[in-house]
Amino acid sequence: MNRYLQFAVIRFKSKTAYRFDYFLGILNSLLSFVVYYSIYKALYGGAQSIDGISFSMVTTSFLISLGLSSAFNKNEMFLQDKIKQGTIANELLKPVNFKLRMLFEDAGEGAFNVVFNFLPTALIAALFANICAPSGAINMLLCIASVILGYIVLWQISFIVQCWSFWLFSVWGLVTIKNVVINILAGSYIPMWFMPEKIRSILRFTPFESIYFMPVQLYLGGLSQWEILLGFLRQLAWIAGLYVIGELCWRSGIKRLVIQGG
Amino acid sequence: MIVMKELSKTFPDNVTAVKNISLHIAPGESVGLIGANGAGKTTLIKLICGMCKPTSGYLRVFGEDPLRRSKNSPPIGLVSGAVITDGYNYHYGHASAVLQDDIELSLNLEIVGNIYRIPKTLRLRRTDDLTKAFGLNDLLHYRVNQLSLGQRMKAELAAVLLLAPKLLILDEPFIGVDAASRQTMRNMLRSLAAKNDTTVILTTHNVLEAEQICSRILLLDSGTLAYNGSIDRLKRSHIGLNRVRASFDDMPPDLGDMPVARYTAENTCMTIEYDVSNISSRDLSGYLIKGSRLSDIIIEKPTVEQIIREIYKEEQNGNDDKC
Repeated sequence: MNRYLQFAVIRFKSKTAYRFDYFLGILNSLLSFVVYYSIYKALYGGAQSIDGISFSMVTTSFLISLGLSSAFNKNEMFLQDKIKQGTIANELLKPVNFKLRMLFEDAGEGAFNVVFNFLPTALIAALFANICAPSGAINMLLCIASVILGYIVLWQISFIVQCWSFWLFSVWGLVTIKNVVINILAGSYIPMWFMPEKIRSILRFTPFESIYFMPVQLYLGGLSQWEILLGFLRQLAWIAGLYVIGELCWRSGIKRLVIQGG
Repeated sequence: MIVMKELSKTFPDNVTAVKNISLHIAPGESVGLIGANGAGKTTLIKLICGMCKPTSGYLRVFGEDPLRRSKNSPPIGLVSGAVITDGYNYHYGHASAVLQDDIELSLNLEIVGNIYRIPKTLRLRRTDDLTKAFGLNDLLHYRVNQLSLGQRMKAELAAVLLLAPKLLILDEPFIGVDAASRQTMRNMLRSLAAKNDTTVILTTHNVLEAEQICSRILLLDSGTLAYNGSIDRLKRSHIGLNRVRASFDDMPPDLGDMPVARYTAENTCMTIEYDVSNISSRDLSGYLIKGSRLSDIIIEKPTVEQIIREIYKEEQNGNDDKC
């Protein structure tokens, strides 16, 4: 097996050791879905659609966001722990790319969360909520592609924030703020449709829109080919840009570590 | 294997942890790195591993600059006891250096094998040998965070030895490890050192342990190399003082003009320190027996620890003179 793939598989397996955690996780996801579902149900007040957006579209959007955030859920204190505990020395001695290994481990954890947290939640949610079906096979594939790109965007943002642990005593605060900002700006709390047009036009140029909202739109359909192409190009551009920033942060972090003496 | 020339490391806060160290460690040699807390042992190890950038001087490990280690560089085995015991984490318990906490030991060893691209048959053979030698057979299906500290340390050492590294660095590996596990680890290291195939660097406060494993001692004192040589030479060149503890039925005798280094008398007991080149143990004990009613006598040879204390004292006095 490829060494990096092995990291993902092992993380996936090791997560299965905590069964109670897993049941509580489903309950947690289900609760947050019910909260949003109820709020928007009240807001719609029986109306078929608002601004052309139907209630089931909003519900679907929340469910997809839930799935994505469970896929994106990972240990964001990973790098900090390695640095604070001093085991970073051992990690760097290993003949594997630390960053790539981290990405694969996180992906393994994400895969676990999707299979054991999101899928059961989605099945239960589908029992009481009206969820839209995917708008087509091609759109579904595009949606998955967009999720993967969105994951890489989000992962890199997280990596950059984690790199601050080379300089800061704790990055917990930064990570928390980052997550709140992303959840708001990426439209996982308030679907992008309901954002004021001015804010939306600004958000279009940030990496956030492509994380949650692009997959939702692809799933539901209704984007023109031109919009889809543009969306993917934007995601790729952000991946490239964030990669450069991440590398810079990582390298200067290592440089500092080496001067400070590890 | 390791070449250092006038190597120094000063941290940004102006603390000089390593001062002008020059030394050479040959392949297959086993070296004990000894020094008090803050003597610069860990910094020296970090320099060797490429985790720390020297301020000045020359350093080569496996013939390359450790800061430029690549994926193809020969593996360095590093076990750090301090990291494992001190690196306690709120979420995960003890830190692990090579092993991963929430995974069974057997799978961990498999991962290590894969990371270092060790062929499966070779890995299985080595795993078999190592788990036998360390008595880890019954623990293979446990997660690492279920192991006790001693078991964990043995497991870490086993995982590192799985790589058959040409350079093995052990930074305080015996911290928190019980006597039986220490013994197992020590035996393993001793047989490894005896094969002269692996270069071993062992950092410890415990001189006796270093003595059992290592053929050479490096004594670090506030960043400088206070002694570099075999333990035998250390003992010969710094003979140190013998010590007599004697107790008497009544008042201890007057030592008169006996050429002893120093003595203390308290009630009926007396402790005398003397240099055997000035007065032999036979003459001294003969004098004590003859001159008074001796009830008990113990003669102690200087231990390596005492000798090292003496060396530190000399160094310190030397430094005071300079000031």
